[in-house]
Amino acid sequence: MKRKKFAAWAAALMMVLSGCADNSAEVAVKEMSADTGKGRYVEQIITPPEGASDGFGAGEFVNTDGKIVFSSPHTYERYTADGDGFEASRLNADILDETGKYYLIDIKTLPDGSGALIYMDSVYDEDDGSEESVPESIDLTYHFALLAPDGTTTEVDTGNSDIYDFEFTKDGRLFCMMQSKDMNGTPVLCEVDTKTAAVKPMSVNTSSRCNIDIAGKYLVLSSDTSGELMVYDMEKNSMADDTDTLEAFWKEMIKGENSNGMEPVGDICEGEENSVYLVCSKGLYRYEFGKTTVEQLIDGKTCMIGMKSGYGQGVSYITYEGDDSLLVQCADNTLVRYKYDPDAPDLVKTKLRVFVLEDMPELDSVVNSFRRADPTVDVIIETGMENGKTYEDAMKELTTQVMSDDPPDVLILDGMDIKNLTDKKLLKDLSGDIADITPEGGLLEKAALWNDEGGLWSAAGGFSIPAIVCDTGSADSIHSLAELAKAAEKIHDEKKGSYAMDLEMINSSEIARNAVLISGELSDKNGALDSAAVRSFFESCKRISDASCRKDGAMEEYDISRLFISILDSVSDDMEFHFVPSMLSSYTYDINAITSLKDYDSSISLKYGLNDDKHSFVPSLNAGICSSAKNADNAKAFIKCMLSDETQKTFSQQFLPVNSNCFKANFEDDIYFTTGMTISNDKGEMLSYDWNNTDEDEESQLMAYIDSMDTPVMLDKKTMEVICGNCANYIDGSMTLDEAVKAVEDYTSIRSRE
Amino acid sequence: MTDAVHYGIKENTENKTKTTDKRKNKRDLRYLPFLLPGAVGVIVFIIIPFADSARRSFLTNITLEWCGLDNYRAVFNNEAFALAMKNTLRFTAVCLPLLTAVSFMIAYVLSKLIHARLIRSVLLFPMAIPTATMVLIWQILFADSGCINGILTYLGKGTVRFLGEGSFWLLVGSYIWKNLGYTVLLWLTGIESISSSLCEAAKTDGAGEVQCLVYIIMPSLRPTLYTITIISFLNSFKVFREAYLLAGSYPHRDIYLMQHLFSNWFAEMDLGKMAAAAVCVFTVVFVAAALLKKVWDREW
Repeated sequence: MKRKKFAAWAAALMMVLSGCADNSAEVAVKEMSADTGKGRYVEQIITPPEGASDGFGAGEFVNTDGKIVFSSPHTYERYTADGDGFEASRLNADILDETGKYYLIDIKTLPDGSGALIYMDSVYDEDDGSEESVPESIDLTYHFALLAPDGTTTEVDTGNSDIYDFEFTKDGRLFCMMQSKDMNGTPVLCEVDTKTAAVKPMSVNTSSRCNIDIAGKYLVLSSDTSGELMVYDMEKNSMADDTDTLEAFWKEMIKGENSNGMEPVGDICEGEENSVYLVCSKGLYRYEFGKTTVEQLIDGKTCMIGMKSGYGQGVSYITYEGDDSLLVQCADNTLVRYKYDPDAPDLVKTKLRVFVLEDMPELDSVVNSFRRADPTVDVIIETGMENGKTYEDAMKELTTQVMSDDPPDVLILDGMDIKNLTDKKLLKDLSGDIADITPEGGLLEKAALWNDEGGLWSAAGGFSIPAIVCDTGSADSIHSLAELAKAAEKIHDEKKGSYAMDLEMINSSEIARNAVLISGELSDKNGALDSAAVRSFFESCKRISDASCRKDGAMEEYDISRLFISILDSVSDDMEFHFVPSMLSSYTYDINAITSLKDYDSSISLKYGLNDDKHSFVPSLNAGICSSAKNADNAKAFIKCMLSDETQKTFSQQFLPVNSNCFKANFEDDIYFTTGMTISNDKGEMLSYDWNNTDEDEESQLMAYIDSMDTPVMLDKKTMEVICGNCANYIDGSMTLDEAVKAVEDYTSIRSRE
Repeated sequence: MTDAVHYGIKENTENKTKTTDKRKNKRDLRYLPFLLPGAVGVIVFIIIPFADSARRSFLTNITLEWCGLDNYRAVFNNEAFALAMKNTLRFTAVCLPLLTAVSFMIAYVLSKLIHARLIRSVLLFPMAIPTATMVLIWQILFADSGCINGILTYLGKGTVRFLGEGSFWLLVGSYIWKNLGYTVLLWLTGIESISSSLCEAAKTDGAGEVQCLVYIIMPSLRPTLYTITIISFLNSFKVFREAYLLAGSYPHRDIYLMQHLFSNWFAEMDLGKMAAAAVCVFTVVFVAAALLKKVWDREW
């Protein structure tokens, strides 16, 4: 009886303990060792074939018995593998005639020219052959058709569903993923008869939109947004067993990769011996079905795979060529071959340690550029606030490293108390190295080299500037957050029921955070917080919130800038927003968007910065070198790489580049994905808006602001937390103004006395 | 001869005594190997780090250059240090007598109960509850939008900012709640060790309950009081965890304690000041404990 009791207790204990553990399957990843000795994958960038257009590389591979073909839905070209390179030819499909009636969404062709394609009605009609005009209504239906080798197409009847991905097997079978047009139903796997064009749904449903990849007898359905992965065994006509490792690994691999949920960020392809290759910006991996480990073949931060361009997110497609060679389409559609060379020596000689408080995707781009430029240095990123660690935990970890004479080489200072670290002489003075780290075209010095009191203690990799767009009156008449609040209240009183402003804010804490960044009113180079300024700031935030803010976060789902959407909303008939204060952190998505809006409607005015006496900006990716760094030369090279043209040109969404060449290149660059935008408003009416480059006057105005910038907004995380938390409490009504201000005062008084 | 014999015997006795003493000394030294692991631990984890702290108190923060007494001057002129010291002493001054008195009263009442033994295990429950769990419960109860304020609002009263101005007393309550059971146990053990015949004899001579308590039980519990005072004094310095989890690294100024200051100095890399303050605090605590011991020993 006692024994039974003991067993029951033991079982209960085990259950409790196992319950405490994470139930998700642990994936054993055999990572690449930094010291691999001989043998590694060697990268070769494939140059576009002669006559190919700029969009070379954008299209999914079709690999039929080693014959690799891919077709681009953007350039209407088809690329066939030819030796080490590719041959380009024009796509042959009857729907792609000169009338431009249809717009190609996706296409895959087999080596014999046959294939399948998805297309829809083109948005624009060229009615007089020269000007584009907007049709009154647009058919947004996706058509799916089979393509014969001679270019004729046969439309497939998909009923009330859209096909959004399809794949050919080696023996010519065609599988596709289908979802009802209203997007309410779950996606279904179907097989299309390539002779009769009949669609046969299979009993495989996925909970999110999945892409199809063929791996031998398996159909791998994977989503690079949700991380879902399913494997269908075509021989058994059922779901494959024992795929937990692959499913868990895919989920882990994709995590955090798809920031906008729109671009492909990873892919899977068939390998040899019942295996698959998986790729994303983190690296290239190989998995053999039935095994419990996944092997890393290439570390993403050492090669093009990990390179994230300004527009592309990362890796799009992969295919295995055979003989340990893989083709990968990377960011900006660069096509790269990775071939295993058993004699290639290990290159890593030294290690460079970089300490950062929180993950920064742009830092990965710097690491990638740096490692590709100098493969002998392995860069180790140490993230202080990962795994739920607080700011204090992270700073204590840094202190411990410094105390034990093992400091990181490079410090990314964003979110840290920079003045304190400078006072403690933790940072090396970079004044003597400025000539070495400055790129040939120079820097926007006000932004890049702002931390220059008594020496140059860090260099910023990028920056954002505040701006206010206004459709009623002149934005120039607003000079402070208080005046902005007053204007918002006025509009709120005059136009009841309408929002006066969008501060890109979802909750009260975000309101405070954005107001700190946009106004720059709480920033002092010495890090001091003035009580009167805090009181005025809290009052203004509350008034703005009461008068105007949209708090439902409805804009979140859009790929493009919320600022842009807000502006479009403001010019549409609904007239929801009348002020759009925002941080401009992308030339294309923010600056071009708002300057183009001025062209659209002359009543709209734009002003850079909110306060006339404080021209604020937010420097980002502030890199300094530890005074006791053991690898100071490489640390300097790292900062130089961060400021280089190659790295800076990838900073196009999160912040503006500080490299003069890269910044000014935006003046000339064509807008990447479109020169116009058409959206429909709530009434179903179409609104067209041309997206243009900035003109000379607009560029001068912008450069004048940049040249006059004098107030960097660089509050440390703790201070920001205290300000935002107490301001949010005041806005939400759980604290009075006096209590909220006093809480900040207490914090600042104790901290300043420490 | 006699003398010789006598002396011989005396010499023999002396020799014997010496041999016995040597054996005794040898036997006495046998305990040393058993002390070694503990001693090594104390040396490696306490004495050496403290010596390093003492060394660092004379050096600059990062560059480790000699700076004399600058760090000590900085500490004594530091307002945050003064505030933390004041709060810590205030906390100790309030908690120590309160805990001692309340726990003694409970222990005395419990000692009269027949089934006091059954209650003993329950008394240790607060110590078994993890601090984080306890603080979570306190937050649910005492946060601005917590249960108690919810009830007050429901009753039409204004809300009370327990984590603001009332945070000191909240912390006192937390400390008392956590340490009460353990301290009661110590008192109970002390009370039970007093021979019941003493009280019985006194009662035969006409003494009442109060007289027994004042003249027999309380004087007999002086050693227990010493133990409780020292333990409670040291525990009062450990209340930082509750304060930190309750209100973070910069709490309301009333509950800003020494450990907050040390923690923040460490995070801000003020290592020199931290080391100097550590030396000062150690000196104060050490002197206070030594004085207490001396006073206690003198009275006995």
